[in-house]
Amino acid sequence: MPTQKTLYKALQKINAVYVLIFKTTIRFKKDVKNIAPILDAEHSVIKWNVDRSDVDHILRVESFNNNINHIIKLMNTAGYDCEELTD
Amino acid sequence: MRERDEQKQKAIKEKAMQIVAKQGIESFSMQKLAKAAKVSPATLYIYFKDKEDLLLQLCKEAGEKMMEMTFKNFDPSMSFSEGLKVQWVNRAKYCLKYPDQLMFLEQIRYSGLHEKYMGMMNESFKINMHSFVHNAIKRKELVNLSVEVYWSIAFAPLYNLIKFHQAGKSFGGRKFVFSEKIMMETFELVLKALQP
Repeated sequence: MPTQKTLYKALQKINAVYVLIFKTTIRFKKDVKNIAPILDAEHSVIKWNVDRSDVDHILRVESFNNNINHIIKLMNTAGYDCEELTD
Repeated sequence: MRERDEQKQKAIKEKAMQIVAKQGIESFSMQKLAKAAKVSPATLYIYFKDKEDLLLQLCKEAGEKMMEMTFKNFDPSMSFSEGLKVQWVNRAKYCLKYPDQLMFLEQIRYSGLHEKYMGMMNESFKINMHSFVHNAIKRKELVNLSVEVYWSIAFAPLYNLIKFHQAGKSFGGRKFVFSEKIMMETFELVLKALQP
């Protein structure tokens, strides 16, 4: 049985992991704390982080699904603006 | 689905290195990098978790290259004068070949990332340098000094000459070009200062 880590790496290699990038209003540490339980509870979310040093307070999510709208909805419900950042 | 592209990632890293080297780490941002590398900010975040992740990856690469070059033909059991000479030649080569990396690492040294960078680095650098210095002290080829004083005498003069060289000038616009002759002249004086 492959471990979860090796499985994840293999999936990443074949681009089966989606990297979703959002511009948000998740500004402060307390905001990150607010959203942590919400994203941690999502089964499709492998890992996530917020780059608070960026002007757009980037939320970066690695997910098994391309569930952009779902993530946006979750963030909006938690009280934050969130929009997908596209190329 | 956006594809990961190794070439693109490499180009982004090179650009980031240049920006930090030339403009400093304080003013570096993902937005600035995106503009300079002609990619969207979203693309940067495909490759890197965040700004710190990007900078630490650059540190790792530059640090590994620096170590690889510094220790070429070097053995910690060498005599002090021989070992230090090999190091001077190697370090000078590295600095002249990768000026951006040198400036980049210099920026990191005085930033909040430095400790994280040191934690990531291979222990062999420290161990090699340590045993070289200790052997030399034991053999009475080197005076016993604090690491700060040792480094300031043993290597800082070389780095300073290289700084002058990279600026193309020293004081009051006086033209300066680094050469092997100048390096060896300085090296002999450094050796004199460090020998008991």
